[in-house]
Amino acid sequence: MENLTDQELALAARAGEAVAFDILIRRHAAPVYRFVFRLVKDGPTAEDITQETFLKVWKNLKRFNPEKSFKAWIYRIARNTAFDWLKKKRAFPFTELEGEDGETAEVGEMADEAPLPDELVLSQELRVELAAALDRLAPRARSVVLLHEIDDLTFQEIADVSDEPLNTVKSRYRRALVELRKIILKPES
Amino acid sequence: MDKSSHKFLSQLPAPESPPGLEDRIIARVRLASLRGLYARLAFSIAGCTAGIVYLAIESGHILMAIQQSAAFNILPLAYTDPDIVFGNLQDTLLGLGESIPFGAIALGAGLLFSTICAVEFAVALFHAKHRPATLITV
Repeated sequence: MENLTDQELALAARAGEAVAFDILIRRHAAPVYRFVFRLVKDGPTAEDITQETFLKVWKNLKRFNPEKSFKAWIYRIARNTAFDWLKKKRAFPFTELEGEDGETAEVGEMADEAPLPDELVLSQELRVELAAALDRLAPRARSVVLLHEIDDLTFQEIADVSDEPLNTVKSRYRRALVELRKIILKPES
Repeated sequence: MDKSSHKFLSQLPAPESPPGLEDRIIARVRLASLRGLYARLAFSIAGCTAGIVYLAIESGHILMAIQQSAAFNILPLAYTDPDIVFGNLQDTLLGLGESIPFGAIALGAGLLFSTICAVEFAVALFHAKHRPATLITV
């Protein structure tokens, strides 16, 4: 059963096969935890949200569309659960870099839109700076960068996760890179 | 901006997931599953009990309603004298509608349904409780 795809396992779990859901948990718990941790920046909270995510997945298995990516679906639930927690906590200016509708200024209006150079990640010091800069991004922007860069989701999958048009996701990603660059170049600001 | 263009963040140190995270999630899902089954079983047993209590209290009336009902006399006619029944179908159906003891039938159906549910949930609960907490080892 461990060789089955996520979709097949989800269908088996939906049919009442508890072992299939155990495999899905073992397959996705750690990556989901890491994603949530990078959003909420607190270990116990990240674990709570991860557990809550899988509980929601289990309760809503009947609503899962097997034609879509299970990974994207689970990340969508994790992201929304984490955002709910962030909104309740109000620890982060949620609309930073974003308007009421989640849109930001046009990419073209930003000063330097060149992507971060690969050499940035060569030194340990810059890795730390980059991690800190990532933490300063608004949650929406951070989640797009994390999902694409670390969790290997395609832009289409991220669009499904965030329930936004593909182009919005791409421009949000690009703006996040620009912002990361700005933060790293001006760490004091 | 394709997917493989620059994976600079993949080199960031990944936060370690706490040990036993998967087991705790499995345990929590299992607990939620057991709670759901317990709740359904409790509702089924409550329905079953309520039906039996009502049957015990009102058994005299229910029995009388069944005995007085002409429906049980009309129905066998469909076998013995189908010509009469199907020749006067409208009258037969009207007679059935007027004389069927709906209360007794509804009670019987409800009792049967809640009993089936109770048995089904009890079996599911038994299987769920006797499933090892961690079947998969990776």
